[in-house]
Amino acid sequence: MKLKPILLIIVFAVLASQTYALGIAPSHSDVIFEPGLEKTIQLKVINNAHKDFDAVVYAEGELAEYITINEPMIKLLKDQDSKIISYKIKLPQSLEKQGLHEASIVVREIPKITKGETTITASLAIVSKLKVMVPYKGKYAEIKLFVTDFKQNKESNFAVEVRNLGTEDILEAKAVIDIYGPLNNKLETVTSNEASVKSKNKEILIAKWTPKLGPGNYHAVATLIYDELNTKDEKSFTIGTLELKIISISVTDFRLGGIAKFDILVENNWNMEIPNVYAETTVKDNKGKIYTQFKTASVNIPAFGKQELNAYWDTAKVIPGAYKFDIVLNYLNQKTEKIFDIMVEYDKITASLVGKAIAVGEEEKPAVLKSIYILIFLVVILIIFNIVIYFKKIRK
Amino acid sequence: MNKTKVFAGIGILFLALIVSSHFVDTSLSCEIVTNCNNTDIFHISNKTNAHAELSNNSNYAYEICCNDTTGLNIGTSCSGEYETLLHLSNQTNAHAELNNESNYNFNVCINSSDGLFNCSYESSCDNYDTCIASVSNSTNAHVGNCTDYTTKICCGITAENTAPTITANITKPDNVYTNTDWMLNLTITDPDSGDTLTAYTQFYVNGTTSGSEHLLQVTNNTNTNVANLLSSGFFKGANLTAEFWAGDGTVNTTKENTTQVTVLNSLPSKVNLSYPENNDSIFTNRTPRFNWTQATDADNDNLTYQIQVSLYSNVSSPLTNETGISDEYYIQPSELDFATYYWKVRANDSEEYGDWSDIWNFTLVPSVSIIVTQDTMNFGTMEQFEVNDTTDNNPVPFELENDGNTEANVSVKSTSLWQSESAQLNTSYFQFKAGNSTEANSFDWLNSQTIFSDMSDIYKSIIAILNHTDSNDLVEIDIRVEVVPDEPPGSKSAVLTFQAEES
Repeated sequence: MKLKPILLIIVFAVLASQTYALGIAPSHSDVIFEPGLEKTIQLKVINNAHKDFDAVVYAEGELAEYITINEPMIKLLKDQDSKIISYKIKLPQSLEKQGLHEASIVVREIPKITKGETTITASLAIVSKLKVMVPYKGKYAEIKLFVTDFKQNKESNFAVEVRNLGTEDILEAKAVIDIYGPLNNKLETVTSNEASVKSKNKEILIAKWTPKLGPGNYHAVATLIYDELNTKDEKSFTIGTLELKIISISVTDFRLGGIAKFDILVENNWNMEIPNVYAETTVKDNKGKIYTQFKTASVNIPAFGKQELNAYWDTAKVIPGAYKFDIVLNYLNQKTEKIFDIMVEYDKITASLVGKAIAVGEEEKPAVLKSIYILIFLVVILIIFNIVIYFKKIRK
Repeated sequence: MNKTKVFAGIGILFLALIVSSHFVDTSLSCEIVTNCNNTDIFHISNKTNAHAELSNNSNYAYEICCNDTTGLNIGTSCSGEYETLLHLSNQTNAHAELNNESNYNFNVCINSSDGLFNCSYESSCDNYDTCIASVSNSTNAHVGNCTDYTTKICCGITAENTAPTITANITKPDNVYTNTDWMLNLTITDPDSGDTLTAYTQFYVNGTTSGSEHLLQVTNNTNTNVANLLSSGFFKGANLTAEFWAGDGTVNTTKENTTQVTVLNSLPSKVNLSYPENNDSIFTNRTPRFNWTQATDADNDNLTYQIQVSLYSNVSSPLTNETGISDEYYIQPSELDFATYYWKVRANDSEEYGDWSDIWNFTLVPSVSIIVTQDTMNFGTMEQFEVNDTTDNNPVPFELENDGNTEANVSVKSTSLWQSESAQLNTSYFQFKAGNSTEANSFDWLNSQTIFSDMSDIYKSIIAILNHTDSNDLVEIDIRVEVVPDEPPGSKSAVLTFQAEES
């Protein structure tokens, strides 16, 4: 008898934490109006949460009267990822207004109502829109700009899809694509091929481009010029990939037993400042024993700039030898890791990556300083020599 | 004398054996005539018990006349390859003696320019083509027809063997790859009918013998595949040659070599695409992982792949053109826009590309998909005048996540929560608002309902432009409820409906 309330609580808790999901694709369908057009359009109802549920399907909006839902009640089972449904449209002979006319095909889950105390149950509905375009009188085009993942010095393409939504053919259309940098400064312009586009048809224009610009974020604005009219579309795109590079590590003024300061020089190859860059460093021996872990302060690295990060290691109980210095750079939800072999000596630390020495531990002393040391040494020897001679003379 | 005869006989027999192994049997025919239309060997005074004369004399009417039925030429020359049939005591009116005697100086010879005679003195000519004549004694003898005396002059003729020739040698295929055997075809011609012809082949890979010598019996003057070098015996870049010759059992041709061929690089196989599925007209992943099956390469070269993705059905002017892909997939790094895409893949073995795969297409469409993290919210038992909301996470607010591939607008409506007439919908007793979740900047704050608004039974906009990127696609929906004084006791429930559509 005592178990019953506990079970109820567990069941309630499980139910309370349940997620619901409902999706639809496509979330809109484009149709160019034609008198009396009849068409069947398929929709995919997505059951992302993999639940059993019932749903109603109905149309609403301006064009609802021209829509017949083939299956107004649907049932999805938990082992079904999705279900294909369809609706038929039968358009009238004319639609008075030019431009866009819409209807919504709604799939609404039938909720399982929970009662007790003050309870609010959530349910979901999703909409797929039917967009019927009545062509505009004369010439009218809409465009969509397609960009890609450009690479420096490698030819790629911009594509511009031109939809002729006017009643007249477009005789000549070409796209001019302006490329802007992060400061909205126009950097380059490329032009597509030319094409004619028949009414209610679409064409794709291509503009080839070999980026000479550095890696980073850019923005493209495409202007379609067609029969003395124009229209625009714009998209952001990237050239290359963002990657911070560890240029070098060095340790200056090191004495075993003291604090080793690692200067980690990091380069930003991107055309924008990378904020909050920090490194997590770990020193291990060859058996994997960790000697120290350190998180550097965060810095902002300017576009195409370099910045130094500093990591510290107390070498009080460290013996000379070979160690691993692991650096993990953290920035913009990305990580870059590099492992260096370091050799700890009494007065210097050397580091190498992939067999190549990239930094010298102790900074080489300037030549002038070396000469001074030699001079001091000679002076001391001379003084000692003079003292010896002086005492010999006294004895005599 | 008898010993000499035996020796001569054995010698002739031995010679005949050796010669016969190099020559082809034919048919010699000799007879005694009075008007020889073939080869006149020598003359005799009568058919029996006769004197003899050389053929260039004309005192005797009877002529030993010989002919080869296969057409071999027959002569009486005593030089070169010939057989001495008899010695005569004179040009004409002569006695005869056997060729192993040495009393007479006028020789009766028989020869052939295209055959070889095999003659002997025998008691029977059964083992020879023909009997030419018979003699009464070993010397100082008379000559007669073959039935006249016991010592008969027996002869046979064999045509001289002709060595075969190789009239054509062809290697196939013209382009050799590591997955194709290399074949040698020969045409061997031998004018000697009846010879057994054998083709011999020795293959060489980079100048070193490969396998053992191949032998094959072939048909005369017929192009024959005589030997194959299996593809397992060579590798890319190897130089192949074949040494070949032919024999007819008697003599072999000189050895010849084929033209050297170099094993070419084998192209990788055609790639088979697997995902996104072809003709998928409701495809929703904007950063798809393009998958294909691993290509094969006969040379076992390391393969990389090239993928092209285009808006054109022939994949021209591709938007994506990636090379050097070492995996059997390519993950689209940035989001594709909504369109129909055509794609193909081919493998590269670092030297050449294989054939392009078939072209597949998929249509990327926008999708709206919403996840609500909990389906029920419980404010517990409430007292009159009590106000509660979810801003303090007690109870926890609803959370909506945009799981689609495009931005979405969300609106909300509800059934009535309270029974009291004064606390129906569109009053402040039941309200909603959108708020930031753990994922900031997930929606357009300015155009969304971010302060409490009265719940309605018609849809009211709550969230504008809910992002779909995974790191910023989550929003909290806070609910506020207030109990009016005249609300009757009992459990209360309402059903909220969140409706999402493409922004």
